[in-house]
Amino acid sequence: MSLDAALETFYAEAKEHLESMEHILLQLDEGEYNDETLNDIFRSAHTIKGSAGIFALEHIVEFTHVIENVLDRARENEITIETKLVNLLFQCRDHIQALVKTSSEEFNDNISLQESGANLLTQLSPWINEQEPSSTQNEAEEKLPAINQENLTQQKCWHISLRLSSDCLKNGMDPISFITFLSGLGEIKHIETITDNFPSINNYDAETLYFAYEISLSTDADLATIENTFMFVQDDSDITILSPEATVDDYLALIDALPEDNQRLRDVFIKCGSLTEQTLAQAHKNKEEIEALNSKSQRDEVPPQPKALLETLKNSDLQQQKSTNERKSNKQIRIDSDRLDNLINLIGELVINQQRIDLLASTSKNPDLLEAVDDFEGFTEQIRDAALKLRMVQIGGIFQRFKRVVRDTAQELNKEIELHIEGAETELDRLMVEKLGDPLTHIIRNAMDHGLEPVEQRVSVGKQSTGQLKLAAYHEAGHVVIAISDDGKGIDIEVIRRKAIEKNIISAEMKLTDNELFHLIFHPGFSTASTVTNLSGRGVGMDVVKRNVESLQGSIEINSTLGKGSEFKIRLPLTLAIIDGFHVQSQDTHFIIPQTTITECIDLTSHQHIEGRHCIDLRGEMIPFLNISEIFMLNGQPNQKMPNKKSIPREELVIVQFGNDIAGIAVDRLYGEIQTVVKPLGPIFNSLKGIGGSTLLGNGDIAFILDIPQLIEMAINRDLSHRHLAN
Amino acid sequence: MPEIKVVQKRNNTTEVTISGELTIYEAQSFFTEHIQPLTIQQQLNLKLAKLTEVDTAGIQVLIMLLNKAQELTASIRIISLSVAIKDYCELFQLHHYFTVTKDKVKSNSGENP
Repeated sequence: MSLDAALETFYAEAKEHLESMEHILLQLDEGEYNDETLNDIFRSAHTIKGSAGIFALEHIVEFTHVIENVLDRARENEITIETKLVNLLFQCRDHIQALVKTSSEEFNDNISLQESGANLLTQLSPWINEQEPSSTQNEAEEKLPAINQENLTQQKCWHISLRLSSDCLKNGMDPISFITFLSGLGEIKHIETITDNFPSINNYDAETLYFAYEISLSTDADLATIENTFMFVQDDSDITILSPEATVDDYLALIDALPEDNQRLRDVFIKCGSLTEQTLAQAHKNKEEIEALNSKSQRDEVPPQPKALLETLKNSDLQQQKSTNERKSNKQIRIDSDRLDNLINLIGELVINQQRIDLLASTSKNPDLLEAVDDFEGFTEQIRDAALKLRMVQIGGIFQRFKRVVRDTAQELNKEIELHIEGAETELDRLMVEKLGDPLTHIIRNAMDHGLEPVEQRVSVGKQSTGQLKLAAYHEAGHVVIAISDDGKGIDIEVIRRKAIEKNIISAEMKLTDNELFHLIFHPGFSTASTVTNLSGRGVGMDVVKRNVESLQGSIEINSTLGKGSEFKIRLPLTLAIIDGFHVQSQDTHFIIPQTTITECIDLTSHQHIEGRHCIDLRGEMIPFLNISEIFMLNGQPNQKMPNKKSIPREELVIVQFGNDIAGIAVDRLYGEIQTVVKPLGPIFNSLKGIGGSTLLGNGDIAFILDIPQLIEMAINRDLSHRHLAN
Repeated sequence: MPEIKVVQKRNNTTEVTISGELTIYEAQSFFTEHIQPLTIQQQLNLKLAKLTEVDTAGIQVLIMLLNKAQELTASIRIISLSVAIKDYCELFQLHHYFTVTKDKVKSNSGENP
């Protein structure tokens, strides 16, 4: 692992630890005060500090060390974490986050960051142990006496055998950082730098690490902490950590396993204090006895004792080490997102190729081939689904973030608000989860600012004093729905209407349904907040929220009852990369309609066309529709072409639905289901309405993927404007 | 690039002074340009007081120099050491390699101070 990659891992891990710190602080804030949570938050701070130390990120180490110190005192029950401290720790956590995002050089130039850090530390002073200096340099020395005292009662000496990767130096990792870190964990009783592996002068490469190390470390740290020191070099290094409980046999096995001369290693181990002459002699005697016994009982087959020992070492003593490793790796594998994207791309190509084979096979009419291709198609689909699943993450991660937003905002607004989270385990494409952060924050802030009333007002209308805010996620017909609901005062339709007329968004005479009125709040420049507060109404309006959601092929739906509360529903496709499509044709152009949006296909000519409107009567319901060839002006101007094309009547109508809205799309020909690899259109097509992307068909033709939410909106608007004309 | 001054004295002594930074960035070229071709007489005197920065790669080059001297059965004397080297030796307990002493220090003896 190179230094850059290791740093990358550090940042990813620091982010996770910061998230977990936030999570625990929220728990503490809710009064969940127990040893475990305190241990967890301490460990998070400790790990951030430790890893930062390995990379010599002093600015992070220095600050985090103080936090760690405070948390340690809380852990030891020397102080209690009261509300005031929780609030301060929240700020400190944020400060660490800011520090992690800043390089050492940037930090040195950033005076405001330095000041805010110093300010936080001053505020923390009542909880800091005065005897403990805040400077980390003194930490090792500070810890020494304490550890020595403990040593009187219990000597816990670990033995660490380091054969670091020979490329370690080239990759920017100097053993100095590991040893420095270890000395911070406790006292290095002895370190033997083994120089036996130096080559002759002609074979020497100055950038290769030739040193090997045997270390005896006296510490109270656990195996995981010691192991963590080496997490960035683990891959290509041989690192053996023997616990204080390790037996002489374990050491002997280690000596046998190491490349250096055994006698020399025994001397080194004795120097380390890990072995003594007596124990060695005793062990030697035992071994001889065993060997004698063995040779007596089975003369033909003398088991090579060192190997057997090595096995036991590997099986028994390293088991502890292994199991922690396994526990970690079972949970998660970190994969570079580029690699994952590459895989998805390749699978996209596979799907296209599979369709080509499908097409060729169907023309050959060879039944065996057709069957094989059919199976192939099944597996391709499974591979596709499995690969797409890799990108899926639980939405809970982002929901968790809002606990903090709600807590802080509630304090700021002086309201009592309780956040409920449902369906945190619902999975969604990682990319979407990342992009959802901002729109969700905005809606949630809006709900808290405008929706939920202050305590007195709530009590006066007979509601419980604490405002209820709910974040829920669930699957619904191939989509993921994220619902944000509150039990506040709801959206006043009349206020919206007045404001919209005032801002010339609608005319006073327009008759709009409630739903249409709600959607006016997404209009650019529309804000009902009479005062611009710090939280919402700061110019970034709901129109940005809508645009963000639409860029993810999603939609927003609003339900609200005056006095009872509002609900915002964000509906998103499960993934953006490969979709199940429905292949249609209009004129000579191929189109794909996302399968999940289709409710039915009907024969257009057999349904009554409503006079003067772009609507048909479907089982008594008015459905607006549009002609694809008209919308995209296929084959030149449609009006001129229409008479020529009269011989081909547009007869197929695909009924599509998105959220509450339904519309029909008239096409010439229906082909059927097809797996569609979505290829984005270039940025120059951004302004093109109604098309969301393109794809390649099995025969090499290009098909355009229709953007159904946009088309539905177009159909409804056209119908609306017709109605206005008629009115 | 670290600076090296080599003085071949009449009394069969080679005096080597290294100053500046000796780290992974300079180690390879420093080694091939100066250490590998270095002629060492019966006595090697090392002056390292002005070595301002040293890392593991740098220390390895110095040990390689000591090894070379030892192979040539030269006696080694370390005349002076910088804080940087002392700190490194403190951390890695490498005093048996680098100690300013009037006695002759053997490079691979493994003696504990």
